Amino acid sequence: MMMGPRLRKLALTAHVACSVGSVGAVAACLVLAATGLTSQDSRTVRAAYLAMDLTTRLVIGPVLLASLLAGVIQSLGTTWGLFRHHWVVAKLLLTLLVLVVLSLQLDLIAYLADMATQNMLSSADRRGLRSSPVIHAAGGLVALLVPVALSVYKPRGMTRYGWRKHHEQPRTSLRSPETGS
Amino acid sequence: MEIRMSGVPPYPGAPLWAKVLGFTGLALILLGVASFIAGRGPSGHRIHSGQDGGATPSSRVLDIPVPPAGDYR
Repeated sequence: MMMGPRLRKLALTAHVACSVGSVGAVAACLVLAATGLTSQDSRTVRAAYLAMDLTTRLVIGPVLLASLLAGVIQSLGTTWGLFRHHWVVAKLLLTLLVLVVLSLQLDLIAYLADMATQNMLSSADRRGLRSSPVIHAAGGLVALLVPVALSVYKPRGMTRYGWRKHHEQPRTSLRSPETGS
Repeated sequence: MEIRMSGVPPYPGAPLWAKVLGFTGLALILLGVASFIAGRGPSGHRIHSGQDGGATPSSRVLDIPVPPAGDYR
């Protein structure tokens, strides 16, 4: 079912806002994780991990989910489809991957916040534990920037399913989905 | 020669960028799964769990006050 122009623009606005917002939130999380790893001041470390815990649970997770849902609705309600173009599938898989990795990191971040609250993060043997959020936040940032670039450039390439559907459907319009508009 | 009765031209294959992105993503996923299976967990380290279901710092075990040796009668 194709969406009307008003609904399509609403879904697009929600999708763009959530996608770009998640990039900013993950960038902030990367700064907090790096601060927690490198700072020598225990109060700064505690504040960084507590803020990171709140940011991941209350901002990044919900915003990523909203971005995924808005993207799925957007793709299903337009001629792009969900599985017709490689760039749409790549965006979907990358967002899902970031969500899975984030959910795997939530316990560790809560653990670090708990440890920081009790001033137990001074020992050097937890450096490996504290470097994990930095690595994952940096990877997540790259993984979220790729879908943003894919949305802007919309590189050519249809999936096998999209190719078949495109050539099976009656030609009612001269516009090709491959051209992007 | 392949004859297609349906009129659908042969699929040209996935573009190079999609293949590169797919292989890179697959390699990263395999790396993550391998490190998970290796027993280091998703974060690279095991986290000790307390009885209350929350995370208990391992160092807290050492913080338990040890009663002085002597007669407790």
